[in-house]
Amino acid sequence: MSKTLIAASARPMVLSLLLNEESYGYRILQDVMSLSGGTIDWSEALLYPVLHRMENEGVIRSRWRISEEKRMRKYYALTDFGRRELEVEKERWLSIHGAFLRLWAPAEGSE
Amino acid sequence: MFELEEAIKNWRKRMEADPALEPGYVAELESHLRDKIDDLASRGRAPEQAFDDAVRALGQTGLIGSQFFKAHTPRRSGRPSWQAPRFVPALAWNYVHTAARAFRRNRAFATLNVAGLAVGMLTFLLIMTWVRHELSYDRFHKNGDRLFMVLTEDNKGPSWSTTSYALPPALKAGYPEVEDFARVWPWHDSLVKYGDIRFEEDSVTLTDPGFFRMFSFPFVKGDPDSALLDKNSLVLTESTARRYFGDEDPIGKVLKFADPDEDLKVTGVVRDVPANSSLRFDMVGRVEWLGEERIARWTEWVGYAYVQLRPGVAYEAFNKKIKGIFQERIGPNWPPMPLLQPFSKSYLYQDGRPGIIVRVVIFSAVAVLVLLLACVNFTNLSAVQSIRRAREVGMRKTVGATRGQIARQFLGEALLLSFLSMALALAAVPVMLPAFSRLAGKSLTLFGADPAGLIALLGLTAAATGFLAGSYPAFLLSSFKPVETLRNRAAGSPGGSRFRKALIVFQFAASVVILLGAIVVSRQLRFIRTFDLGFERDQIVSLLNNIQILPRMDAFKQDLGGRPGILGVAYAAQRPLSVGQTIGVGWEGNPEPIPARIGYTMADYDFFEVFGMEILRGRAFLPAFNDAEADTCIVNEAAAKMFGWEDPIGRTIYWSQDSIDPSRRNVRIIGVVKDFYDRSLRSGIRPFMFRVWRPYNSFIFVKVDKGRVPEALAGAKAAFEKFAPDHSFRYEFLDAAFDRQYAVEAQQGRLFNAFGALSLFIAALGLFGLAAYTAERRTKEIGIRKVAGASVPKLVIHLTRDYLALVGAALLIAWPAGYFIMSKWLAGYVQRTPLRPWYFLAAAAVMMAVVLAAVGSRTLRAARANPADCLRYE
Repeated sequence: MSKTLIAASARPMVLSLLLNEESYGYRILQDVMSLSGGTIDWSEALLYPVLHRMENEGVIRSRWRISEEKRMRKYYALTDFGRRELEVEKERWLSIHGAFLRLWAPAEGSE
Repeated sequence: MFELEEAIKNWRKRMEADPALEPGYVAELESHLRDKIDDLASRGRAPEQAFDDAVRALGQTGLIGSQFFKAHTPRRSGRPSWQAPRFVPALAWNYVHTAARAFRRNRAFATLNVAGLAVGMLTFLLIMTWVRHELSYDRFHKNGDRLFMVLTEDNKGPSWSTTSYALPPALKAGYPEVEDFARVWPWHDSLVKYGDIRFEEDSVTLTDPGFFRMFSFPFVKGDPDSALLDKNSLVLTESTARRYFGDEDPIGKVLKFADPDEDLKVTGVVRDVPANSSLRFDMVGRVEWLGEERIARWTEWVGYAYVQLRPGVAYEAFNKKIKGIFQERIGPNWPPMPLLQPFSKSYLYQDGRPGIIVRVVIFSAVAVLVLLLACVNFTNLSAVQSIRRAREVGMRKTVGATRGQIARQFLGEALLLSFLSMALALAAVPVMLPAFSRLAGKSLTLFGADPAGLIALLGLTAAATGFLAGSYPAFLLSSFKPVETLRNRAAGSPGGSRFRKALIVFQFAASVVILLGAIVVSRQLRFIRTFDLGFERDQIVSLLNNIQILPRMDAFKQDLGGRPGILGVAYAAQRPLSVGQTIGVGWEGNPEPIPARIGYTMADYDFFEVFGMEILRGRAFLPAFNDAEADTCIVNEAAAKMFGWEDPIGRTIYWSQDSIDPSRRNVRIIGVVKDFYDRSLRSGIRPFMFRVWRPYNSFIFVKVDKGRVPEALAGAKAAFEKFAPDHSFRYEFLDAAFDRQYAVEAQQGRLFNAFGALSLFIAALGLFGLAAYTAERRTKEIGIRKVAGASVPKLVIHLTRDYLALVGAALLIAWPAGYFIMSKWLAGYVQRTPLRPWYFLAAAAVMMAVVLAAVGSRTLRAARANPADCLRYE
C-alpha cells in the first residue's frame, strides 16, 4: 500500500478505533494490523507522531494510567471535538467510497 | 547472560540522547517496547531475540526523533534547529573569498598546483586532438554505413587488402544486395601535359564510375553520377585544376597523358580531399587504363576495391553468402575468400587487423596517465598544505559546519582550480598545436568537425580532474577535529601519509614506464636504422624510369655510368625495400596442390653487383638479353630451402602466371643469392626470385660515391634531362626511403620523448612542492641536528632518503610493468633489439636524477641555513 494512502487514512483510522474505548499505541498498531488482515502495517515512527499531532490538534487527549498488568501506559481517548471530526471524516471517506462503487459497479455488472 | 532490564536502560539512554525526544515521549516508546517484547516472548521468542526484534521495529533513533520533531515544530522544512542547514547562501561568497585569500597567501603552492594541472590538461588536450583526428577518418561519407572494403582472407594467415578486380563486377551482377562498386587503384603516375604546362602526376586514382556515387567528395563542377561514364573522362581536385588551368573553366579541357598515351577530357572538379580521408588523389580516371584483360582476370590480386550494399543488408550474412566465390570461379583448390570490412574501419584496421587503432589506444592511455600524474600532484600538494587551513576548518566546525559541508567547500575549490587550469591549457593550445602537429605529422585543429563533442570533452575532463584531485584533500580537511586544530598549531599533522606515499610511488612508476618506453622505442629505431638488410642502401639513389628512357636503356646506362662519382647503374621492376609483387611457382615435389607465392622482381644483370648482394652458388645474369637468359632465374636461400633442393642450380621451376606465354613458363635456376629483406622489417625474409627481363623495369638505381654526392647527382640530372627532356628529374636516396618506411616509429619515438619529458616535469613540479613543505616543517629539526654536529651533506642525505626509498618502491612496480609492455610492443617486429638491462637502469637513473634535483635544491638550502636563525624562529 502506498505511503501517502497510509498517511492519509491514519487520522480517520485512529479516530474510529478510539470511538468506543480508550487505547494505547501498541494496541492501536495491533488492531490496525488485525483489522486489515495484515495489509496495513504502520510503523512506530508513523504512529506516535500522528498521535501527538492529533493531540495537539485537540481531537484526542491522553493520560498516563497503570494498566491491568501493572505497567504505566499512555492511553488515548476521543474528545468531543474528535467525535465531531470523526463524523466529518466518515462522510468524506464514504463519499469517496460511494464514488468508487458507482464507478466500478456497471463494469462488473456488464460481465 | 542477557539482562533485559539493563538492555532496556541502555536503549532508553540512547533515545534520551536525541534532542528531538522529550522524556515523556521516551517513556511512551518504552512502554511500547515492553509490550512488544512481552508479545514476542509469549510467542516463544528468547528474551534477547525479542528485545533485538522490538528495537529494530522501533527503528533508528534519529529517524523516529525527526518524525517526532516534525509533529511538534511549526517550521515548514521540519529540519531541527540543531542541524546545520544544507546550504547557506550567505556563505557562498565567503567560500570564494577564503579560497582566493588562501591562494594569495600561498602563492607558490597555488601556482605549482595550477601549473601542474594545466600542463597535464594541455598534454591531454593535445593527444585527444590527435586521437579525435584519427578516429574521424572516413566518417564524412553520406552512405558511410553501407560502404565496405573488399578484403581477402585465406585459412592460412591473416587477411590482406587487395582483391581480384574481376570480383566486384561479378558481385554486382550476381547479387542483388550489392548496389554499387568501385575498384580503386591509387598508385598511377604519369607525365601530364596541357600546352606548355606539364607536371609529373603521382597521385592519379584509377577507378570505376561508381566511385563518386559511393564516396561523398563534393563536386564544384560536373556531376557525380555521370562524371566517369566515359572511358576518357577525368576528374580533378580544385587545386590540381588550378595548377593547369588557373582561373579558366576546366570542364571540357583536354589533358595529354604519357601513360596511357591518351588525351583525357576533364568532366568534373571536386573539392580538395579532406585531411581525414584515407582515399587520397589529385586526379581520378577510369580503371580500364590498367588493362582490360588484367582487371578481368580472376587469378590476379590487383588492388583495392569497395562495394556499397543496399540499405538493410547485413554484411556478416553477405560475407557468408559469397565465401565460396573464388572456388567457383578459379577452382576448388584456391583457398582465398572475399571478406567485406566496413569502410569506416579500413583506416584504423588495415588489412583487417588492428593497426592505427593500437596507437590510438596507446596514446589515449598515455594521455590519461599524464593527466592522472597531474592529479596526483594536486592531491599531494593540497594534502600537505591542508595543515594551513586547519584552523579555518576548526572555526567553521565550531560555528556549526558539518563534515559534508567542509568537504563540499574544498571539493568546490578543487573544481574551481581545475576549471581555471583548463582555461589556461585551452589558452595555450593555439601556441602548442602547430609544434604538436609537426611532431605528429598531421595538420590538427582543436575544434575540428565536432565542436559540441569537444566542449563536452573539455567540461567532463575538468570536472573529472577536479573531483579526482580534490576528493582526498577534501576528505582529509573535513576530518580535522576542531578542538585539536584550535588548541595548537602542531596538532593534526596531515594524516594518511601512507596514502600520499602510495600516490608518489604510482607517479614515479608511471614516469619510469613512460621513460622506458621512450628509451626502447628510440633504441629499436636505431637498431632498425643500422640493421643489415642483406643489401647496400647508403650509396644508392633511385630514379623513376620513363617512356623516353625505356627504348634507350643501354645508351642511358652507358652515358650515366661514365659520369664522375657514379659507380654503377642497374634497372629493376621493384624497389628492394618494398617489393609488392608476388608470383606463383610450382616445382617438382611441391606438397601443395596449388603454386606457392613467392616474392618476385625483374632485375638487370648487374643488379646484384650494384646492391652488393652476394651470389652464394652459380652465377649472376649475363648481359646478353637473349631468350635463353630470359628463361633463367636466381632465387634466394629461403626459396632454395622451400624447394627442398640441396643444389638447385640447373633445376627447373614452373612459373604460374596467366599473362605469360605457356611456352615460356619453365624457368631454370642459375644462381642462389644470400637472403635479404625485400620489405619492411615488420615482415620477415621470404622466398624470392629474380629474372632478367627489361621492359617492365620502372626503377633506375644509381650507386654513387659517398664522397662525391653533389657531383654525381649533377651528372645524373644532366644525363636524365638529355634522354628524357619531357620528364622532371626526381630522385631519392634509398636510405631516406628506408627511413620513411619507419616514419611511424620515428613519430612514435618523438611523441614518447615529449611525453616522457612532460611526465617527468610534472613529477618534478610536485616533488619540488613537497620538498619545500618538508624542509619548512623540519626547520627546527635541521637546526638541532646541525647544532649537534650534523654536516650539510649528511643532512641532505637524511632529508632525501625518504624520497629515494619511494623511487626504489616505484621501480619494483615499473620494471616488470615496463618489461611486459615493451616486450609486447617489440613483438610486432621480426627483427628487434633485445631489452637490455641498461635501458631499465637508465630510466631509473633519470628518475633518480630528477628526484635529487627537485628535492635536493630545496633541501640544500634548508641544510645550509644558520641554525641560530631557525632555532630562534617562533
